[in-house]
Amino acid sequence: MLDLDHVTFSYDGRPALTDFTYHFEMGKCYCIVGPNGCGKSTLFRILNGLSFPEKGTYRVDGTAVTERAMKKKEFAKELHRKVGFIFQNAEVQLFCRTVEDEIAFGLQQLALPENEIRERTETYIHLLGLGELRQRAPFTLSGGEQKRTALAAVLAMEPQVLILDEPVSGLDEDGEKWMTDFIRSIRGPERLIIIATHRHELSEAVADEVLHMTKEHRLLTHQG
Amino acid sequence: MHIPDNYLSPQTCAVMGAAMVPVWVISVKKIKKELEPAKLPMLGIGAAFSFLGMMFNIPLPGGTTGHAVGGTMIAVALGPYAACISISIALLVQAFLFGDGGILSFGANCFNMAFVLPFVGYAVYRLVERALSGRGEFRSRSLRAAFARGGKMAGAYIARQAHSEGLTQDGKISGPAAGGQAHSGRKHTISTIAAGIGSYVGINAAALCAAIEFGIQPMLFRDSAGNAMYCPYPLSVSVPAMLIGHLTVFGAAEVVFTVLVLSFLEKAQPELFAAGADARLLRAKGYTQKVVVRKQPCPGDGVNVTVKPARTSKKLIAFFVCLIAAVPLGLLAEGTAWGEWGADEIAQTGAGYTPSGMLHGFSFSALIPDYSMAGIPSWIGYIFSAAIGAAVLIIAFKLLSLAVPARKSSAAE
Amino acid sequence: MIMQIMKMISRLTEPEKRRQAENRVNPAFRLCVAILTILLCALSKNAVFTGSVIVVLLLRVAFLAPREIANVLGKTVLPVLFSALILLPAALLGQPGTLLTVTMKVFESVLLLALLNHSVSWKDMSEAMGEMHFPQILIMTLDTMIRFLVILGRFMGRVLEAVGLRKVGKDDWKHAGTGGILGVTYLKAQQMEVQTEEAMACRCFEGTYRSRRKRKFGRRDALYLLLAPVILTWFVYTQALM
Repeated sequence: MLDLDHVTFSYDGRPALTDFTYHFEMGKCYCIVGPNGCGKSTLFRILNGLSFPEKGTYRVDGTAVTERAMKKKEFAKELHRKVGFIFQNAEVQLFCRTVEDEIAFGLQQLALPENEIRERTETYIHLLGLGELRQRAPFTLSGGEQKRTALAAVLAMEPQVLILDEPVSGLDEDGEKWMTDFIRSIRGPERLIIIATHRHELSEAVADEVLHMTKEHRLLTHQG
Repeated sequence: MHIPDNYLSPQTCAVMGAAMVPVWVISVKKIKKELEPAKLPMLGIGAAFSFLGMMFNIPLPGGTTGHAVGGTMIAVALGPYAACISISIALLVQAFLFGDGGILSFGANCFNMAFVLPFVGYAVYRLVERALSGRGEFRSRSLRAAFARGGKMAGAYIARQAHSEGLTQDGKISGPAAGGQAHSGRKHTISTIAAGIGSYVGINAAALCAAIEFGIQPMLFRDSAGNAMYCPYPLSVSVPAMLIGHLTVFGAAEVVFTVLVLSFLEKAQPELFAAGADARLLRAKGYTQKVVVRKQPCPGDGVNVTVKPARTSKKLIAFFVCLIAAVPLGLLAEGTAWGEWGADEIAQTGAGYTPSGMLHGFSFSALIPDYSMAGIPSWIGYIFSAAIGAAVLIIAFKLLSLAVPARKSSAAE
Repeated sequence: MIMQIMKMISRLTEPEKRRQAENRVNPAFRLCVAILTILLCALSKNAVFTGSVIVVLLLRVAFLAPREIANVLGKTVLPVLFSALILLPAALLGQPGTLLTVTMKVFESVLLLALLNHSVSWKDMSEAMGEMHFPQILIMTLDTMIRFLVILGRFMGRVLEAVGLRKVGKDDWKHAGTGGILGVTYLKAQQMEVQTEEAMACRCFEGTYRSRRKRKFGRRDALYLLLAPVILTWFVYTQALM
């Protein structure tokens, strides 16, 4: 599904990702662990087409994601529809007036028919238990509620790949447990999940594979 | 400078509002054309920032304080059209959610603070910058580009921050960016000075407009008794009154606001101002999809912030001149109609200052119960007295309940 | 300063008040009636009309909870005093009528606006703008502004607190770091803007920004709109009195 072939990236000459090669398969759940600054965020930016490899290639379903390709609106749209990304800081990810609008936003951009937008919005509001909050402004919600809203908004677009950056950071014990259970519940043969986390509890509970990254921005090993 | 309702006549407000409509339409069109959709949140930030800036009361010698509008800074950062929309929205929220500035006078307030201020400030900024820097070319980029790039650099910065957490932060900027930085030091100082001067001129131009709006009121609108209906002071009073404040206190506040923020940004984040070379670097790093803000490509620099001041400013000046010519005309035409009506009423009432007595009677009718209201059906008077009495009593008791222990007031709710 | 910011934030984040019947009326209609009233007051040549509007408004105020009353009336104090003060020289120079007319009208319009402010939330406002088919850019600017006002306001509050802890004495920060505080806030704003931009791109943003909430024209709206001709008739009647 997602192919990284000798991908290298650096900021101002400082390396951020070195010679990263990996094949992410459909239907699996991966956890990426490693110290701060090991390049997880950079990796995620590349996977989402926000940054591009300096060397090496990144392919989605066999199609290379390059800067030139991303300039084409249709291509970019297709990529973002396939790959959903939950930011570590949900605050910046939510920008609509109400929770309901937030969930419908992506669907409106995809120009889906009105009744499908309504249907999906309802489905995901209920799936994530946001019924009570539907008319609230996202920035007035608590951290956990914001995370749930972001999840609903991204999942409503029904992406094949779901990338979560530190999904449990800033959550309390209950929130963490809920998130773990939720991630477990959405795993399936039709979905690829990639999670960056510091919590062993989470990676043990949900991951099919755990990838370790080193301080030297390399992929160390992976085990089953 | 937020003019509340009833200082200006509705006619003046209508003219100012009408004048703003084309400005808004043009601004929205410009923004749509020049800014890609992804950049739109910038406008919201500009509005939020201007709002927050207006909350800062900057202390000045002599114990007074002044607040800045920050319009020029936003114009420098986002361009005058975006500044116009941003400040208009900030004013809208202030009027409708916080009760700062009136509804009818919204157009006039926008005219002064969202149109005159940023456009004049920006024009002066560009002129001064060009004059100071001597050479003609770099000036199309400079500070604005630095700001525009600021966003991108901030993006690079975040990514880098995230990436280098846990590593030692040496704070050095390696490679081409460092070179650009040394090169841009002087440019930036010039830009800051220019922005400071621009902001000073801008806020004073806005104040002058407000003063003129005030000053023409007594010439045009008087009630039956010959009293001014709105602002009673003629130009000879209103212009010095507004300008003395703005040439000194508020002007200073605006300059302080602009310069402090800009120089802080320079110190705290010199890379924001590193001009030129780093754009290419950024492009290599994957920031290009956002780097090109404007369509025309410029060799060797991904950021092309060529504004077309020559063409647009001419149009604007023409528009401005027409407006200046049109405003008094429109008002005078309206004014005569009002004058005639006023004369009739004078004939009817006959007495010079009855209105003032009546007014007195109304607002304090509860205090002066046996005041008779000449010329008005007594039933209106009765209802008035009763209603005001009831309202004042209820309000007084409810307010009293606030003063006594909290338990009681919560029970009242 | 911190207090001011906190107040602003709480004003923007307070839950919508759906209890009052008035709040179920389309805010656009409420705004129209308010504008009409203020306009007619400004045009009014005698005090009867302005006076009657003030009476009605005061009655309306009387029905609010005590804290709300304090809030609404509190907003009118400064503008009224300021207007009286500013107009005092004119009164002494032989135009006593102006002092009273203008001050009373200022009281009327500020009170009306304060009542409107009190019952309208920012969501109502941007919703109303959407219904009146304002360009999406404006509505998005408004929403983004509110969001950042709250986020940056919280951030600024924290910065101010931090600076306050470091300094001894009152208001020291004012001399030390106004530019710094605003500068830091600006940097923060820029960073967040870039992230928002990316987040929007990740959800395929192409320039469509519409709200889902649609208001239906109800009985309340019709009743409220009936106010307009009533006010207008009363205005004509009062103007003819003298």
